[in-house]
Amino acid sequence: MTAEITVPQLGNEIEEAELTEWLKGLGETVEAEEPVLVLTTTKASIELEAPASGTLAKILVREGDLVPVGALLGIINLAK
Amino acid sequence: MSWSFAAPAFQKTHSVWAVDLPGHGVAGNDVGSGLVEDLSEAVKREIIETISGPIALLAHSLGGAVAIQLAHDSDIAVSQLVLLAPAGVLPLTDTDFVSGFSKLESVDTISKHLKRAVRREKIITNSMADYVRSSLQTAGRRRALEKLASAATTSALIPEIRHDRLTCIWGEDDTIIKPDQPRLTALFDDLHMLPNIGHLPHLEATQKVCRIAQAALAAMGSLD
Repeated sequence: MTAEITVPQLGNEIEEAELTEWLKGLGETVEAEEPVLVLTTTKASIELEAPASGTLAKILVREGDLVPVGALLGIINLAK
Repeated sequence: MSWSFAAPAFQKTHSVWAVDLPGHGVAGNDVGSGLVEDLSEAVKREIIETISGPIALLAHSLGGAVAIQLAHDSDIAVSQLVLLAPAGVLPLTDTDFVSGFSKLESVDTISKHLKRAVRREKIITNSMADYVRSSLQTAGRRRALEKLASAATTSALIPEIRHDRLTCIWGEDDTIIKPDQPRLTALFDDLHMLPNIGHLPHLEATQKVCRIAQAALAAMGSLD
C-alpha cells in the first residue's frame, strides 16, 4: 500500500510552485503530518506534510524544479 | 497574502473572504487612532457591505484582537472565532518587532526582520520580503504602521473574551507574543499549542492549522 505526495491547492492564482527542499531522504521513515518537503511560490513558502506514516519510497521531483498544482512529487510505502 | 495557502482548505465548504486590516496588504492607510476599536470599525464596514449571515472569523495577531472586538459587537453575527496568537490577550514580548516595521528599507533587512517571527527561517522568502517592501513604499503606509505600533505597544490587555465558540492556536516558540500557557489555558477551552512553531502558525504549519480550524468549524455544525 502506498500514499502519494502531491502539490495541494495553494491559493487563488497560484498554479505552480518550486520544490525548494526535500526534508526527508529516499528510504527514510516519515510520520503522518510530519513535514517532508518545502514548496515555494511567488508569494511564500510552505512545508508540506506527509499524508501517511511509512517510508519515502520514491522521489519523483528534484529540488529546484517547478511543479504544477496536483503534480505527484513522491510516494510513501505505508507502515504495516 | 499570509492566508493564501490556508484559504483553499475552506473553499469547498465555505465562502471565504480575506480581509486586510487598515495599514496592511492592499488596504488603505487610514488607521484612525490605530486602536483596535477603530480597526474593527473599518473591518465591520467592509464585512457588512459584503457578507450576510453569520460568519466565522479566522484571525492572526492584530487581526485576532480585531476579531475579538467584532465578536463583542452586536452589529455582527460571529458564529465562531479561531484565533492565532491574537494580540491583546498576552503582553507583546518583542515590541521592537512591531515598531521596527515602519523603518525597514531593503529586502535584506525586511527578510531578517520577518525571520524573527518564525522558527524555521526558510519559510521567509525574498518574494515575501519584496512584497513587504513594495507595501512600505505606498504613500502613507509607514505613518500608518507607526500609529498601529504605538497603539499596540501602549494598549491595555483585553479583559475578557465573550464568545462560546472559541479556538486558539499558538506557537510554543513564538517570541513576538510569548505564550503564557497557564493564562491561555484559563482563557481558552480549545487551546492548541504547536511545538517548533513561532508567531506565524498559518505559514509555518499551514496544514495543521487548517485541520484545527476545520475541526472547530465542523464541531459548530454549520457550513455557512
